[in-house]
Amino acid sequence: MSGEEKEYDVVSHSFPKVDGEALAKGRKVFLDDIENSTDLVASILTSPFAHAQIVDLDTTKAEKVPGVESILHYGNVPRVPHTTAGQGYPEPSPYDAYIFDDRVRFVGDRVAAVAGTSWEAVQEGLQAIEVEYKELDPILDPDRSRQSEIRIHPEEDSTGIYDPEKNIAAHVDIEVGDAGAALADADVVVTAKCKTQFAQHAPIEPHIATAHVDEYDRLIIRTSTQVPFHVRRIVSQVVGVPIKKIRVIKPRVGGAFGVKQEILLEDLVSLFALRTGKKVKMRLSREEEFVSSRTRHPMEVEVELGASKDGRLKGIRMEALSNTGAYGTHSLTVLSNVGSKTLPLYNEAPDVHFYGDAVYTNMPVPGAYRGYGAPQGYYSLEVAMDKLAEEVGMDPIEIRKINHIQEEETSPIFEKLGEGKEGTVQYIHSCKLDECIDVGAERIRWGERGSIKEAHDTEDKARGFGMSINMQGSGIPLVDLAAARLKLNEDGSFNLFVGATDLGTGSDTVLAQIAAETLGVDLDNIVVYSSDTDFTPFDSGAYASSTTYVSGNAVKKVAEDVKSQIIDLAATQYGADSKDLEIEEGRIHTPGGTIDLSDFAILTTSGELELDQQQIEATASEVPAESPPPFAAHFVDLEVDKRTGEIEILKYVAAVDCGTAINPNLAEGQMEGAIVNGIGYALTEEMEFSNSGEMINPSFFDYKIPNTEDIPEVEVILVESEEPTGPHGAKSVGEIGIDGAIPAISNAVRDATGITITESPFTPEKVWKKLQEAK
Amino acid sequence: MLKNVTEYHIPGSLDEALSLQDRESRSYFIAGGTGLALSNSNRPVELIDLGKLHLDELHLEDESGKLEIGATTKIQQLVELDELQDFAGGYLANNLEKVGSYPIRNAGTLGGSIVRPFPWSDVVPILLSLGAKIRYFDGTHGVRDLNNLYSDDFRETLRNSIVTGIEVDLPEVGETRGRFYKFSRSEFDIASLNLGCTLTALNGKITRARMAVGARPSFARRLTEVEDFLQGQSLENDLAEEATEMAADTAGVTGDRKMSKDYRLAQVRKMTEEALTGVIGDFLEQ
Amino acid sequence: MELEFTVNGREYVQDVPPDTRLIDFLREDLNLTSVKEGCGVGECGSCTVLVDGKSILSCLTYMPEIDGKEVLTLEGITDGDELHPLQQAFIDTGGVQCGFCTPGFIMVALELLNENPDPTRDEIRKWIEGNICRCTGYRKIVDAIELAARWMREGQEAVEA
Repeated sequence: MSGEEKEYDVVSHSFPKVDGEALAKGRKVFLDDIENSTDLVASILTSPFAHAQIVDLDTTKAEKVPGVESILHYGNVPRVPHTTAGQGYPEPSPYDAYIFDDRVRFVGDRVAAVAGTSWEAVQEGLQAIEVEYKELDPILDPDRSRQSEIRIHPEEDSTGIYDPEKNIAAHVDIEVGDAGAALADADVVVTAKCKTQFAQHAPIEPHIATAHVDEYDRLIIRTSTQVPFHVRRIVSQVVGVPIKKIRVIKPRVGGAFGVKQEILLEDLVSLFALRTGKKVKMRLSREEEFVSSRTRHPMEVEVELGASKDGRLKGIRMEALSNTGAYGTHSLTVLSNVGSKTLPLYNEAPDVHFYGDAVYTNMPVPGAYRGYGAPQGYYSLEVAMDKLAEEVGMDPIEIRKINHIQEEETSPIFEKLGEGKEGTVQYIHSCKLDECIDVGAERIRWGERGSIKEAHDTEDKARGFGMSINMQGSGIPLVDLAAARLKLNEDGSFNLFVGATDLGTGSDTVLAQIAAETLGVDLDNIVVYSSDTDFTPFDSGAYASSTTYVSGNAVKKVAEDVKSQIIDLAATQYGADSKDLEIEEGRIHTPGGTIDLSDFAILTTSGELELDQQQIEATASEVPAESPPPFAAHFVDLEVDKRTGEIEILKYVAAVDCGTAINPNLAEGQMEGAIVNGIGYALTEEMEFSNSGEMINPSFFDYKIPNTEDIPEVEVILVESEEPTGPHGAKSVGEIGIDGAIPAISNAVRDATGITITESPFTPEKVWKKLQEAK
Repeated sequence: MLKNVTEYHIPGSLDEALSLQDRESRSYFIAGGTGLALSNSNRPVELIDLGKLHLDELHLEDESGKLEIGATTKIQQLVELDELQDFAGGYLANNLEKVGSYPIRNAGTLGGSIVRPFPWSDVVPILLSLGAKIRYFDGTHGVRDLNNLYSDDFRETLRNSIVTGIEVDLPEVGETRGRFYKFSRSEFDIASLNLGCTLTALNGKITRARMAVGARPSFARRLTEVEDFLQGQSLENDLAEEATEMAADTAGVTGDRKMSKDYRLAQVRKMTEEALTGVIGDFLEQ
Repeated sequence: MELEFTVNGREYVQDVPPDTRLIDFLREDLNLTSVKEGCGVGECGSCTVLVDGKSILSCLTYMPEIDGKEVLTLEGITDGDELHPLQQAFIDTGGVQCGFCTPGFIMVALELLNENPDPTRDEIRKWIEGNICRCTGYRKIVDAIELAARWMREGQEAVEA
C-alpha cells in the first residue's frame, strides 16, 4: 500500500540536530559536566569470584576511613526481588536480582557500595571492607548449567524463573503447522549452527547517575538512561519511596545501545542520597562498564531449512541456546526475538518450529543490546539460506526474493510469538525489500562478481561477495505506551514535551520535525523538552526501535489535536468555518485573509480575544497496534588472505526501507553506526574470560572496537516507502543496521574460500584454521 | 593513573638525574609520561623528568650512515623528521608510524619505548632490525647492543642508569632496505606478532642482514642464525625459502590467548618470506 | 609544584600536585568539561586537547609536562560564542550524534587542518584513527572535517582576495 510520493515541508529533510550546537560547543549537557562537583561520590565493591556465598561482611574499618559517609551492603538494605531490566510493567524478566545479596554470581557482581567525600576516600573505603567468601563451584557454560546439580538461583524469593532447578531462566517453544513433517518431506534440507560471543555496547560515556533529596523531600535522580519512567518505577519498588516522591531527569546521553535500558546505579545513588541527605554521584569506569554492566547474550542457534527443488521454503526449525549469565534480565524477550524478528521474514515456509532456553551461568550479565536477539538469529538463518541457494543451484539473491515476505502478506509468527508472550496479528503494509536488494546488488556489483573474483584471485588472496537480508520492528505492539504534550506559546512557538528519550540518536529532532510538519510551522518554532518524569508525559523509553514510530505517532496525534484547537478558535474569532482554515508555514489561512500564527497566538492568552483566553495545549497517547518492520539488505565485498586468515572488507553497502526517513541524515547515521558496530561484532569485538570466569580484556586497549583504519566507508542507501500506520509514513531504524554484518561477512568468506565460519568473531586464526582443515 | 607522587624533579644534568634516583626504586624517570600513566601504578612516589636534559637531538652522518637519536625524542618526530625519510630507504620513519595512534606517538618517546619492557613493542624490533645500540649513562657513558635489552645483566644495569639514546651504524658502503610487519587485531592495537628485517647490499651481495621478531609473545629478539645465513649471499629470490624455515626454527615462538603456537609460526614464515622477497625485490628492481 | 602555563589564552601560575592528570585539572579546577574521559588509557581520544598545537591525550598527561606550554581545549577554539567551521560542519553533516566524542574529534581535526588545509579523505581517516566514535560509523565525521576544510580554505581565499 505504498502511497504516491508525498511532498513534505519539514519531514524528509535533513535538518541539523536540535541539540547539535550545544554538543559541538562542548556545553555542559552531559551529567558529569552538569554535576561536575557533588557532595559525595560513590563506587561499588565487586565480587572477585564467579560464584560464592558471602559468609561475613565487616565494614568496621571502612567506616573509619576519613571521608567515608555511607556504606551499603546486603545487611543494611531492603531485600526486594526485582529485575534490573527497564521494561514495561509487568516486566517479562524474572525477579531474580537484589540490591545486594549474600550470594555473588559472577566476577563483577555487586558486594557493597561506599559513598564518600572524594574518589580517593571511596576507594580506600572499598578496600577496607572485609568480606569472607565461601567459594562455590562456578558454572560458565550454559549447556553444562542445564545439566548441573548446582543452582545459581536457589533463593526462595525469586519469581518468574522458568525452571530454577535446571538453571533455565526462560524457555520458548512455538510451532506453526508441523515443521518436523515439512522438513522430512522437503526435497532439500540444509542446516547451520552458529555461535556468537559476549560483546559489549561500549558507549563512550559510561553509566552515570546522581541523586539528592530536594527542599521538599523529593528524591531527584539525574541519570544517563534510556528509560526514565522505568527507573522511577523500579527505584520506587526496590528503595521503597513512593513514585510521587521521585523525579527522574535524563540529561544528554553519550551513547547507550541498550546498556542503559537497565537500572544499574539509580537504586544505589538513591539510597545514599536518602541516608546522607547529600547529593551523590556514581559513575562506572571503563573497566566496570565492561565487567559489571551489561553485555550481549552469547548464543548458539541451529537452523534447519527444508525446501523444494526450486528453492521454495517448506519448513524451518530454529533452536536457540542463550547464555543469560548470572541474572535473567531480558532473558525471555531476547530469546523470543531470535525467532520473532527473523522467522516472519521468510513467510514462504508454512511450517515453522522455534524453541530454546535462556540459561543461567556464572558469567557477566547480558541484557538489551541493539538488535536484541535478531543478530544472533540472522547469523544462522542467513548462513543457512546461502547453503540452500547452493544446494538448489540458485543465486543467493533470487532464493531470498522468492521466499521473503511482501506487502499485504503476513506471517503466523507475528501472532504466535511476541515479547516473551503471544504476539499480535500483523500484515505488512510497506516493504521495499526487493528494491533494497536490487540497489545494494548494483552498488556492490553483484552481477559482475564472477569476473571480479577471477581477475583478483591469487594463490594467497581470495575475493568474495556476500549478502544478507533482515527485518526488525518498530516498537512493541500493545505493550509500549508513548505520550506527548504540546502547548502553544504567545509568539507562535510550541513547547513539545515528550517522555521519549534521546540517546544521541537525534530523536528530539525527529519528534520536533514530526510536530512541525503536522502543525504547519517551522522546525525552529518547536522547543523540545524530553525525559523528565515530573514534566513530560509517560513514555516506555528508547528501546525496541520504538521512538520514531511509537513516540512519533504520539507527537503526530498531539500536534493534530493542537492544530485543530487553533483552527477552531481562529474560526470562531474570525467568523469562519473550521474546515476552511489551514495552517501553512506558520500562517493561518482563513477565507477572510491570512494571519501569522504568532499574531494569533498572543491573542489566545490576552484579553484581546473575543472568546475566552486560554492555554492551547493537548496531551496524546499512543499504544501501537502493530510493529511495522523496517527491512534491509546488506552486501559485502571482501578479500581473505589465505595465509593469515585475515578478512579485509573492501566495500560494504546496505540499503534500508524505513518508510519515510523523517530526517534522512540521521537515519543514515543510525544505519552507518549500527553497521560499524556490527562489523566490530563480526570481526574483532569479544569479551574474553579466564577459566574462573573473570573478564581478561576489560579496556579499549584489549577489546577492539573498529576505528577509521579498520573499516572502509560504509555506504547506506535509503529506499523510502510509505508506512500508512507510521507518522508521516515512517518506520523506526535504530536497530536493524546491526543485523546484517555477521551473516553477510560469513557468506562472503564462504564465497571466497568455500569455508563456513560458524563462530563469531571471525578472527584471522579461526579463518586460518578452517582453511588448514579444508586443505 | 599515578596516585602517590609527592616529588617531581627536573634535573639539569645527567649526574643530577642519576643522583636523584633512590635505591628503593620508588623513583621513576619520565619523558613522555605515556607509559607510566598507563601502568596504573601506586609505586612511583618521585618522578624525575628528563625533559630538560636536551636528550632530544638527532645526528645523522650521511657519509658514514651513522645515526644517533636522543632518548626523549617523540616517536612522531621520528616519523616526520626530514632527515629520516631516506634513512635505510625510509625504514625507520615509515614503520614507526605503525606504533600506537597519532596522539600516542606525540607523547611517547624513543627512550620510554625501550626501557618499558613491553614484549609487544613495535619500536624495539624495528630498532633491532636496524642493528641499533643503546646509549646509556650510569655515571659514565656506555653503549650496548640493543639485542641485550632483555638480558638480566643489562636490565640490572638499566636499573641504575639513564637511557640517553640509540645509535645505528649502517655499513658505510652499500644500500640498506627493509620491511617491517605487524600483526594485530585492529589497526590501533598492540602487536600479536611483529617482524622486521633490513638487508644491506653491495654489488648484488648481501653485506649485512638484521632480522628481529617481537611479541613471540615474549620479548623481541634478533634472529642471528638467519642473519648469518643471509650475509654474504647473492641477492636471489630463492634465499627466502631457506631463511623462512630457519626463522621459524629459531624465532622461539609460543602460544598465548591471542595466537596459538602453530598460527604464530605460520605467520613468522609468512612475514619472513614476504620481508625477504620484498627487500630482495627492491634491490633487484634497481 | 609551581607551574606556569596557558589554557585557552589565559595564563596560569599555579601550584599543582605533580600526579594531577591534565584532564582532571582541566575538568575539575578550570571547569572545562568539554574534555571527556571515555577510557582513561589513551585508546578513545575523547580527552584530546592541543598542547603547543599538537594533539595529546589529556588522560595520559601529567601537569608537570605542560609547564611552559599552551593548552587549547574546545572551549577556546573560537572567541566568544560563534561557531568554528569545524563545529558548524560537525553539526551540518551529522558528525555529531551523541556528541560525547565530538570535542576530541574536533580538537584532533583542528590540528590536522592547521597542518594540512586540504587533506584527502584517506588522510583524514588516517589522522583520526586514535579516536573512537560508537554512534556514527565515522563517515559523517570524515564528511565534517572535509567540509570544514573547504570552508576554511574558501574563507582564507576570501580574506586574501
